[in-house]
Amino acid sequence: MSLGRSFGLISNGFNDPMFVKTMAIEADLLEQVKTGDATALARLYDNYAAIVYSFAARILGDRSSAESVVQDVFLTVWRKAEQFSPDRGTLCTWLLTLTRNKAIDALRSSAGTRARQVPISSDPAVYEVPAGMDDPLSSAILREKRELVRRALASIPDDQKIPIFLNFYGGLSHQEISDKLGVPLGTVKTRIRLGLERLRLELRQASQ
Amino acid sequence: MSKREFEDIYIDYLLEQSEDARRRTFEAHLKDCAECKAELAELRDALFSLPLDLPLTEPPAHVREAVLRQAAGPRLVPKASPRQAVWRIWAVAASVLLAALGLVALRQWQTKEDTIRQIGLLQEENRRLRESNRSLGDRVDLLTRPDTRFLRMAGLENYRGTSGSAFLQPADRTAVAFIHNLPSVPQQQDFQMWVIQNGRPPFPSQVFKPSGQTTEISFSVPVEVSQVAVLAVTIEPAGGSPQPTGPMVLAGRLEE
Repeated sequence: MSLGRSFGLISNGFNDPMFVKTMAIEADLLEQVKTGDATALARLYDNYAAIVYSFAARILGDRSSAESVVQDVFLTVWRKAEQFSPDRGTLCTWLLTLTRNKAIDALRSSAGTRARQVPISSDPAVYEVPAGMDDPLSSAILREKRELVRRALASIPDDQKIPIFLNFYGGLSHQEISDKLGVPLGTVKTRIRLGLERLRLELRQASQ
Repeated sequence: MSKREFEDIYIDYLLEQSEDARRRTFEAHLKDCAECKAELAELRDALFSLPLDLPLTEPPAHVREAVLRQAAGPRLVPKASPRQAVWRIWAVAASVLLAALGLVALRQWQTKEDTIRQIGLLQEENRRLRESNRSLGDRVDLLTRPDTRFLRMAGLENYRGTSGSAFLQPADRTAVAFIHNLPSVPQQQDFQMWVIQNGRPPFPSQVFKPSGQTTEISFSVPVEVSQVAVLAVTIEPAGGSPQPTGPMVLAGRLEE
């Protein structure tokens, strides 16, 4: 049994007992949250706050704004837990989707009032964990998943990763990426498609 | 559609790059296609695994405290994101506009209804005035025509305070009478006018109830006015009688 399937990295491994168990634990946590169990919310927070916060800070380039996004995300989970749909992805994916939406919204709303403090980087190294850095993830599951993602990303060429990062972290449209990188729009689309397909295949293979 | 085209659709949708029409079409397709839904979920999971490769930092402790403190309070609707806020502003603005338009429409509708109602009232008033004018004109005509006959009526015995006058028009055998100070009668009784010829039984005419100090009645004269000798008013059972049965209240003789 592979680690990827065990930890529910992708939603393809529904037949794996460990994956099912992980999903069941997440679903159970959410069910407790729905009933108003603040302890369950605290457990969710402790498992995911670091990745939510770091993701928001990467998008916003501002830790204070990222803190607001973290609060907003977990309070949305607290108040709208019933909106989570397992057939649209894992709990982690839902949390990070909420995070991205709220952070991109905040980024766009502040675009006219202040300059972005951290420019959108085209350097893939900016988005990777420096060697030897302490891992703040308290969840063993997330630590395992992180290793899988790191290995998958290492297999993807930079010219495919960069446009994905510019969209994913910067909220740039395909046209804006084309302008920023100085490559044709069609090329941007192709690179993004190839990069994401590669990422999916790498993660799928790692989970088999 | 080729596999690549499908992948483009998935990826554009996932990265929110789809045009509205294409996005709606794809979402409609997703509802019925479990395979595409699973494919998209896998791609979404892959994409949203990217932040795991970021340098991760725990948020400050006060953020956790704030979340749990707010969670301990009543479950309020979460603060709107800027995108939602913009839509809410538009929604509120649209609601206000619709409400204003609704009020204007309602006002116009009410104004229209009021106008229609007022027109109806005015038409009714106009009809009533026309009738009144015609009636008044008829009476003026009746009273001023040279052949109109006139008689005075006086209260009898117990009805001395009652009096009246009548005008009879020979040409169309119509008449109008003005009777003053009629006594009140029980509900089951009415007053009735009688047209009397000499040596003949009285002809029954108008049945009426008193109306104020002066009661005005119009009635037809069943015989030639020239043959009328007396007009009399009696108290009869409600609805009148073919022949007089009650006390005579007042009467008057037509002068030669």
